[in-house]
Amino acid sequence: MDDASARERLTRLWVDHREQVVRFVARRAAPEIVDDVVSETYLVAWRRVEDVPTEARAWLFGVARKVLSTQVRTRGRWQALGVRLEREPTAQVPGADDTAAERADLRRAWDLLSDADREVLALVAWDGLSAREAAQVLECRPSTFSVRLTRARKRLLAYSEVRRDTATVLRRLQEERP
Amino acid sequence: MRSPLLDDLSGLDPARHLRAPGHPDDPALARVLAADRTVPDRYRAPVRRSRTAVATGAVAGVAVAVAAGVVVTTTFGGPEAYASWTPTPQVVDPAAAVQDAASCPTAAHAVDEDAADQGSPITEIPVDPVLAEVRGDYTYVLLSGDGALAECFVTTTDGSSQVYSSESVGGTPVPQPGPRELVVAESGTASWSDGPNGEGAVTAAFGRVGDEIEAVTVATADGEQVAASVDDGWFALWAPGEETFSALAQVTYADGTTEEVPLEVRPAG
Repeated sequence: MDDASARERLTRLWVDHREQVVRFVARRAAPEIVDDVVSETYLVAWRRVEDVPTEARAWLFGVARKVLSTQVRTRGRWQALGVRLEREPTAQVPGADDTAAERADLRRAWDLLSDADREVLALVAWDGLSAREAAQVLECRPSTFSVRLTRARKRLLAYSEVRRDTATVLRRLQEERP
Repeated sequence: MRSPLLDDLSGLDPARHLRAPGHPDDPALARVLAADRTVPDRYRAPVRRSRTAVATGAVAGVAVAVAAGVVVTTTFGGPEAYASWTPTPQVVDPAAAVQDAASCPTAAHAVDEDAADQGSPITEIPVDPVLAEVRGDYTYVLLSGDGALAECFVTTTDGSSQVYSSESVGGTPVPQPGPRELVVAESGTASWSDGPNGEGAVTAAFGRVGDEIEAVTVATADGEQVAASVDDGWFALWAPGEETFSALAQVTYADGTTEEVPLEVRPAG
């Protein structure tokens, strides 16, 4: 690919997917490193622009995941990406409705999941990927991903039924695990 | 693939309000394009292992408009980020504010993915300033066009103007509110000034208000009351920090009564 074509292709990838890549990274990394990870991801895309498939989103997410893994590996917690959760609402609405209560249940359930389960769920629920695309990001077979998704979903559902005090105890036990 | 459980989970997505559209003129893109393409990268690209070659999902025939924008990076530095920011704004004339900030956008850009192969997928949609406010060294301008909204954020912290802007195109048109109604067009954290060299993230919200609404106030995570600018049927406010606004806004009506209403974008329909 000549330089002009490569520039055009990379610019198209930037316009079409930059916001998606920023969101992907922001879900998994501290805000202060998001811009760096996104830039590094596109630098990889620039150097491998001939390899970028037509359906580029999952490819870019896969690269961003690798960039992220390298950046956080020094912190020693890397098999799955630790996916961030939306922060707790800062102001509780008096007389919170059922929706808020269900969200609180879901939040507690999420806290109890493993990083691996969270990553599988986030790829579908937040990043909006199909099983085929998510499998591409994680470098596994789509069938394997589907099995992992089903299991993660069952665990999330089960944990959402756990009482609040029980959930607190479970989370503390998990935190104490080596 | 998706289930109600996953739909519920989407409500906890920390990045669902994050706006960071890419634009061909972004300096960050220019820096990537200036890099040597022949240097091997450190990251092996993911390998597609599936033998299934059939693409899933039909491609919609409808033009897909996405946000496009400009983020002009700048360096602020210094420990006192947004030190001059004030919870109460000074509402200024939008046209004059834009004239002062010549780099504010005059058009939003719609990207038609279906036309990408035809050479000219980007359409410009003119936008005009509808509201402007000043908080310390920061001027915020809201611009509106046909199916497009844009924000322009001008700082003069270091003595010279720096302009950030973002665009939103192709979303549901902001409905005309009833006399006592507040309609939130967008609410969330902007990445304008985030990153190691910026002053940090800001959270902004804007939309339309009915004729009987005179004031809008929102509490921050720190408990500070932030007054929105309300002018000519529009409102806008911003504050330093990430996802910093409470879920409710207090509106004050012309008759002096107040009410708390959700500060959230309501789905169309």
